[in-house]
Amino acid sequence: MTRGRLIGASLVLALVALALVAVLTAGSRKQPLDPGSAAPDGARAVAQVLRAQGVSVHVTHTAAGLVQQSAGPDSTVVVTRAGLLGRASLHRIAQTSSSAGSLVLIAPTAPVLADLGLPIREVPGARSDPGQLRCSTPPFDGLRFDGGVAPRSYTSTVGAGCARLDDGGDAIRTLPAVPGLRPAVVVIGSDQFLRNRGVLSADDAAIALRALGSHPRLVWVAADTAHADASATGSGEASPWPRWLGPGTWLVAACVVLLMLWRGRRLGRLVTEPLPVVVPAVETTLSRGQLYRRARDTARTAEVLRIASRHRLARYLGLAPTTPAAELVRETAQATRRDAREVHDVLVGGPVDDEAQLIRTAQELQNLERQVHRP
Amino acid sequence: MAITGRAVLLAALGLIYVALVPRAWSVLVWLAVVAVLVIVDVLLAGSPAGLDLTRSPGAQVVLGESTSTSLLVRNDGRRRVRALVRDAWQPSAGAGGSRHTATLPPGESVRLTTELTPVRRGDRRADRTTLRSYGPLGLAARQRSVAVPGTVRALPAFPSRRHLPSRLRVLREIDGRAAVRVRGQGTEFDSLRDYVDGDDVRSLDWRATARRRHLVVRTWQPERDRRVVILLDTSRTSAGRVGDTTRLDHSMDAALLLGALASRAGDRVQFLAGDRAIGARVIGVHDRGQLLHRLVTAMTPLEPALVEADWSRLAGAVDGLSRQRALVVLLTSLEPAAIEEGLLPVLPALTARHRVVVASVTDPVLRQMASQRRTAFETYDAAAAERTLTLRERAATALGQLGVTVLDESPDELPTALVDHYLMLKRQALL
Repeated sequence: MTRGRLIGASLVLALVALALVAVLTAGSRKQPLDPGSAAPDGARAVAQVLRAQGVSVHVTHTAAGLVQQSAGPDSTVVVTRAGLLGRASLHRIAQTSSSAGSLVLIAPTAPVLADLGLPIREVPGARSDPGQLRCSTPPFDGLRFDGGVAPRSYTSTVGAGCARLDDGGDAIRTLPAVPGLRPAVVVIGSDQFLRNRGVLSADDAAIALRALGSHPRLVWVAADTAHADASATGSGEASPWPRWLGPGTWLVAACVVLLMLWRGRRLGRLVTEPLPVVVPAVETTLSRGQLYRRARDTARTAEVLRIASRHRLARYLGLAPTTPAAELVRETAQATRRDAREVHDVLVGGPVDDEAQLIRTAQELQNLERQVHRP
Repeated sequence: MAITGRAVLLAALGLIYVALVPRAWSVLVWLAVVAVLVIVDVLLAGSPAGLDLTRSPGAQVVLGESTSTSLLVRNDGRRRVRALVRDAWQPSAGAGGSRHTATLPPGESVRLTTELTPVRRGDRRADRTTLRSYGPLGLAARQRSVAVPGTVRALPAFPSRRHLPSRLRVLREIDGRAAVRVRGQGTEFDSLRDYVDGDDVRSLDWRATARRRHLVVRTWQPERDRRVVILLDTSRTSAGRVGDTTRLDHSMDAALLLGALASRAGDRVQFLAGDRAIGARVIGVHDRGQLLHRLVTAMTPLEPALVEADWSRLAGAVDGLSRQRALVVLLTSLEPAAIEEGLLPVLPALTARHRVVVASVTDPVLRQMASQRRTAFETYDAAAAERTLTLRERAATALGQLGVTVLDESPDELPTALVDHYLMLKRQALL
């Protein structure tokens, strides 16, 4: 086994090991913000604490599930990753939760808020890490909120807000209940405080308990990619395409570039050939023919053919090249036993006005020559 | 540096990884892994600069035949080198299989042979030799090009060589070496010998017969040591392509056949080639075997030049060779304009002292064109061809009036027509 093969084999082994690890980690992974997930992104900690506090937690993944659970005035409805739900689902959630005690939305995007029919606007724009934000509106008064790196910011004409951000919006916004239309609404601009990883930061755990535990019953609509609606407005994480498609495309593009580098690299420069000047010897003759053709000068063309034929005939008949035409005609007529006038027409006179006549004359000349001289 | 297909394949394998870990950064991670491996491979590859290249001396080959050139590659470096070597030649050198793979442990050497089949006459040169040394992983390679000069000389093909034996037989008949030496076959007295039945009685030498008391005949031999000057025109008219090659190559063929035959006949052959000035000359070669080689060598690098021939200078060069009468063969083209303006004015001076033959290659396509008259298109072309033929004939007539013999033949027939004319002159003792 050569050194190269050894290295190749170890490379393949390393690849297989890497693939194995990837498969194993992928198998244990769960959706973020899932109340059953113990992963750093999951929300099991909050759910368990709520259960320990005597709140009955009902988890569903779709709007239909919420309808089945039928949220009454003693219930809190919380919707996580609402961007994965379609417009119809959001309408159903709005309808179903209108009789609920309160509705908590976790980091909804502007289209989601619009679909739910809530008078809350999202303040667009990217923000830097605001750190811990102070809250002074009930039920969160006196608590510090840690919204992670980039909390969403909301504003509305009614209701109150806390955890004020630099752009004038609030990371947490509450709306009072409007009987028959909507329950009390709490919009929280970050999901960090629900995650197992972030729940211990600042007073996030208290905020989670107060937001979700205000009623004895909690219906948790944990939207996820497995149940996402095809018409979802999209929060950036939802897509009908497989998740590896984007990175895969980039990798394929990189491969194409590498392919070009591989095939494009020459094994040494191109070698030039010092070519001598070479032209077909008949080129001038062909050009002359083209000239005749373009001018359609049938009279001149016929004359050229006649001169050549007369010259050859004189030689075949043993006459001097300077023999007068009349004598040549006589001699030719004698040799071919043809009418002298006819021979004269072909060889000397006879107008040639069009191409048909030209071809006929040319062929007649050839026949005459063949009759006089058989090669 | 160069990457290989394996590197691309390795990068493509990353698709599996990306499918399992579908993150943007996993693409970067994978590409970084590939990049690191490629760099490591390049660093581990043997240096192509450590290879020492030596080429075998240049070869000579008759055009149309094959030869080979070999490169001796020695590894002077400290690492084992696995390399792809390209011995690049000009396309017309016809280098087949110019890529070689070589695996060289340190200190060892290998001989790489490239087959060469030149497709054009002349000196065909080697370009740079490129070395691509692969790393142990075969992912990437180091590449370097070095100039290792080399030349293969493609000599004129001389296809009319096959006519030489038959013409030599004719020459021997004239010479009288194979047949009876009789009067009329040459004019120079050779020797006296006894009469045998069948000898021409007219060749009896009566004075010697009277002295010897039995019949004695005189023998004769043709003239020897006559001068034949071959002047090859390399001006613009020689650049015309007739059939596969130029007029120049066809003319060379004829010149070689005449030179070979005349040297066997014991004549002194001198060769000049040029356009504005004399470009090649072979003068004062007395060794018969040497002459053909010298002619071929002199002709090999000649190429047609796009200039008008300076006939007064060329004729002056012929005159300057010797004051002795010679057979001057001008291998040119019956291009009416070139003949009338360049050659005709200087010919009288040449014909006054020498016997001049103008040999020209005619294009067989012309006669073919002139005889095709089925359509109007063809008839116009036929007229153009007839016009060209008429003009050529006129130029030939003008030359003939100056006492010049004109041979205007197709490429296949010109060499034999030329040597037949030479043999005719020899037979009639007109040299």
